[in-house]
Amino acid sequence: MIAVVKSIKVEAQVRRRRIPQRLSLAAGVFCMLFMALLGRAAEISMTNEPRETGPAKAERVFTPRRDIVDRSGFVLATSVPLASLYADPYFILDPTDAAHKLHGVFPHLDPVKLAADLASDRRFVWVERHLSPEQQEQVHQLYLPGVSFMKEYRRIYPQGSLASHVLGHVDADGNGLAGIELSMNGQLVDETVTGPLALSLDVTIQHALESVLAQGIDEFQAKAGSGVVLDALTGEVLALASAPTYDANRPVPGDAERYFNRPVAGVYELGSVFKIFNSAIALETKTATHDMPVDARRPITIGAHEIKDFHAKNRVLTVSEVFKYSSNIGSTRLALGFGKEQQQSFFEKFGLMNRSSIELREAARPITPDRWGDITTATLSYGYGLSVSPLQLAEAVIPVVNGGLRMEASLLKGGRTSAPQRVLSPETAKQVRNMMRQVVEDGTGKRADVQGIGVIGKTGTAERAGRQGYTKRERISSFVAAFPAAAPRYVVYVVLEAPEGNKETHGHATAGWVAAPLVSRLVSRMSPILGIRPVFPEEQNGGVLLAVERVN
Amino acid sequence: MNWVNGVLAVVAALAALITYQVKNEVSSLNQKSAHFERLMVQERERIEVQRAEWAYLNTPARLERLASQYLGLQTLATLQTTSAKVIPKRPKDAEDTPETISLLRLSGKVPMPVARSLWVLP
Repeated sequence: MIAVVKSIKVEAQVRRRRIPQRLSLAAGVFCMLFMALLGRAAEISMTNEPRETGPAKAERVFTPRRDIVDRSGFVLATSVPLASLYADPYFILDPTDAAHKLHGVFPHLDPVKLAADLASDRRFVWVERHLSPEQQEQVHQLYLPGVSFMKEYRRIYPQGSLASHVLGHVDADGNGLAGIELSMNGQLVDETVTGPLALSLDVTIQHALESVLAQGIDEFQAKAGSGVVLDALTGEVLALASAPTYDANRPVPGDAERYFNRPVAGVYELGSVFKIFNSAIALETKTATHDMPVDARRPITIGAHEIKDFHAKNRVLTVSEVFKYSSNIGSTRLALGFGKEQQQSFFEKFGLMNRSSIELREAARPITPDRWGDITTATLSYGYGLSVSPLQLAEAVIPVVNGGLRMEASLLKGGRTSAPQRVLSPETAKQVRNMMRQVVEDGTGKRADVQGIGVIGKTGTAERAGRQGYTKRERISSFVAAFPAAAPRYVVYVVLEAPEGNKETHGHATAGWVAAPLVSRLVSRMSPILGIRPVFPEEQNGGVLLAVERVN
Repeated sequence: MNWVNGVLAVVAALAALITYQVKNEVSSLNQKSAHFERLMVQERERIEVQRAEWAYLNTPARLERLASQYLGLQTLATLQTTSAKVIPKRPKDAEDTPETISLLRLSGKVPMPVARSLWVLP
């Protein structure tokens, strides 16, 4: 009995000793857990790491297609958020009634087709995309169940039809279809790049070019026209126009003529403007000097072809005069002088044999001669036998204007970074420029001049190859120019397709009568924009400008 | 031992209260931030629309039309522009004529101002 009691006592004693042990063990475990929690709390509060929180993440800004701006930041293309209306036919109670009501807001929608769509088994049907805020409000007022809005970005071109051929346009889902929108599509949708894409264009110069071109087409009843303005020092395209034009905000499907980018995608035999290159090659290869006599007394016969002059002088001309009076006979003699190999190699260097490297996919490949015989060398001297784009021709004139360096034309601000290539010596370039000045001072291009600025240039009247060979009726009249004459920097090229003469031109539709005056108007509009100060007649006579006041 | 438990209980209750408050505050701040985030998106969209509108209002063709319609302005003739650099200072003996002509020649009296710097290419 005593033993039993004792043993119970001992057991109780043991148990009593064990309880504090367990307690401290538990306390220790809890302490460690709390320490871990504390440590984590301290870590979070000290490291200050950013945490993703629900609502803020959901509101992440959707980046639309990048804007396109001109060289000084004017917006040419931008994306604005607009509501698009869609329906879930599952929730549409009365498809016919709903279609009728929606037809009231969007009169161009077919109510029968819409009702069919709204009655379909699909769960998503576009009703109308890119609504105006007023239309959106009107749809709200209909209290229709099953229709909802979705925010979509729409590409708009605030300048309307300005530079439409350069910019191109996008489809409803915002993918580039033409122009810069197509060729730069990857960069425009790239979310890692911020800020707009800056083009080399200048909206004011572009506007001047487009309005002068439109005016000229109207005045001379031309079918179409092209215009290019380049900076010969950087190769930047300041303006590039194709007429007729279109408004990318209101596309008219099917009118392919309007969408055609003539100065880039069109190729033409451009005629006598090629005499610039012909003279440059002759001088550069030293097969001629500017005052060397050239026999232009009678037509030349090569094979079955007879080469005649349009403004025939029927005498011995100097090389400068061959250029000034645009003599085909004289040019042919020069070309036969330096020969086929030199002609080919220089045309290559001028970039006339390959596609222009301009940032537009539309850029056309030139049509080069199949066989390059003597007759080809002869006709190429005055611009037949090779079809190039007007932009390409203007690009090829750059070396003459800037002192011999080939600069590839670029539509991006700043131009290209690649080093320019020397094509002509500065001396040759200068001599050709002097000849171009003669053309405007006293030759076929007198109507291109601008008082106080001075223009240099060359006319080109070509006959277009039609179905029955070369027709006299359909002309391509163009004028390529550079200004200011004292230190030319800007290249201008204006082309009119199938112009007609009028009373003021005494019925003439040649380049000197129709294209040259357009260049003159254009240069006088552009000079103040480009900051070119005119030289006053008074100054040239050694006088001085005393006051400029009250111009009446 | 009892008082220790008491203190710990109070601390635990306080901690729970503070945690609750902080949580509450964070959630309301989150709501606010989401609200402002939304406002910012709306504002940004409005700015985009306004920029497009501004670009449209500044279209050269439109300005040209307005300038001729309301201000009677025409396109500049080249000889109507010059640089301030080439305008010489007024000679002291010049007479005041109310009807000053646009361009007055003074051959030889004042040296020819040279503003060729304008023509020098960059």
